Amino acid sequence: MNRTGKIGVAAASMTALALDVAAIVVVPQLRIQQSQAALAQAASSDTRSSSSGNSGGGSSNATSTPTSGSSSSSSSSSSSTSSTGLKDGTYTGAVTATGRGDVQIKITVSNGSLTAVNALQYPQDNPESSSINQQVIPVYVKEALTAQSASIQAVSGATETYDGFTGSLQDAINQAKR
Amino acid sequence: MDTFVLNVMNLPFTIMLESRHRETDMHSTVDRIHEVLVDVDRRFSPFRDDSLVSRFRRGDRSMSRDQDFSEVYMRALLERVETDGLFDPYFRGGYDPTGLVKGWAVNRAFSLVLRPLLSQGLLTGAAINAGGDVLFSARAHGLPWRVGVQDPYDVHEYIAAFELGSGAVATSGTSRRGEHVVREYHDVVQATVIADSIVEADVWATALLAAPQDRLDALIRDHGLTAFLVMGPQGYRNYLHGKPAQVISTQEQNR
Repeated sequence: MNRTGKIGVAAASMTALALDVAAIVVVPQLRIQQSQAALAQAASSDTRSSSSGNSGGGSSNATSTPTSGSSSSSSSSSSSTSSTGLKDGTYTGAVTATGRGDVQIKITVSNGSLTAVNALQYPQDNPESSSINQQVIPVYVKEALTAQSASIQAVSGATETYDGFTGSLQDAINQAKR
Repeated sequence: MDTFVLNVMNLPFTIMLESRHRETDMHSTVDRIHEVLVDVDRRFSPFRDDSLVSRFRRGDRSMSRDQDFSEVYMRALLERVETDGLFDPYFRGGYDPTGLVKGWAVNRAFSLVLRPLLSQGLLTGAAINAGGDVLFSARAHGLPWRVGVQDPYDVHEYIAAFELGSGAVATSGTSRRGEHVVREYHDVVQATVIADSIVEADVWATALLAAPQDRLDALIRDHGLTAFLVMGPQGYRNYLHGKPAQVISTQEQNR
């Protein structure tokens, strides 16, 4: 999966990384809200270079979907205008050790805007399997298969609670194996 | 195959273990997995007042030295960028990484407990199903796992089945748990993603569920996803490594 960063509303939240990349954890939520506020302000064609003055509302609702046009067309639109208060250039964070490996982030700022976020290093969750699943994985739509009929071992579905587990497909498989 | 069910985070974790060694202590293996899951829940549950996540939400920043907290936080922000904000740990306003933590916890249990046993040959295969999101090891002799996808319209039926050597499968949909994804669009009824990593699969299943129909192709293509989408009662879409693929419908069997 490519780790190329994208321009977009989401990327604006990563402005926080630029401000203290090394200590990402202590990035307060406020800064993320500020950067969203900064983006909203920038959208009204105001390209102020300081992000400190726009904390006004700060009550961004953290909507889960970005506004329509701003996404995924990373090549064409370099016009994302969240002002970061940063000089143009590439910023590379310190390598941060985690329990499973090192993490390192690089961001790119052009015209005062955050244009890319890349993970230079990120520990892969399951490296030994990555070659195995390069093979084609067909998905067959079946209808009205019963739990016992298909020698199925695991069921993927929308999240179930433990309370509703008894009698579910996975539970039926588990019981059948006992 | 030995099967165990754990109840952590009010989720059913089905643990499947295969072994040919008598000395493999299945019960202590399951106990250790339980410990890992309970520990993750204790630190990351937004429903626990004293968890790191709850303290973070109250403005406490003292947990920055917790490497796992740091890793999850960074991962959550990265996934938000990767998915164009469709996966958002701030979807309810405050930081809530729950959508990512479940997969992360499974992966952690796998890495800490199961992988050493697999590499020593004490287990010949293992899988953890966390309430519908599953991580599989490769099995001895390359035997595939057979995976069923639940029908969103009838949870007692499968809608699809496929074989997987190893890796992860995650499904997002409107479930008995209710909407856990805040979304603007309701074009996708259920999204199943197959990936190497369970975190990746889980995050993308959530993101695709929240995506508008006209962006699905581009999102899946740009990220090379393998996915199975339910768009309606008879509407299925299949994608293989980012490309639309045929949905092969088999004859009704066993009826």
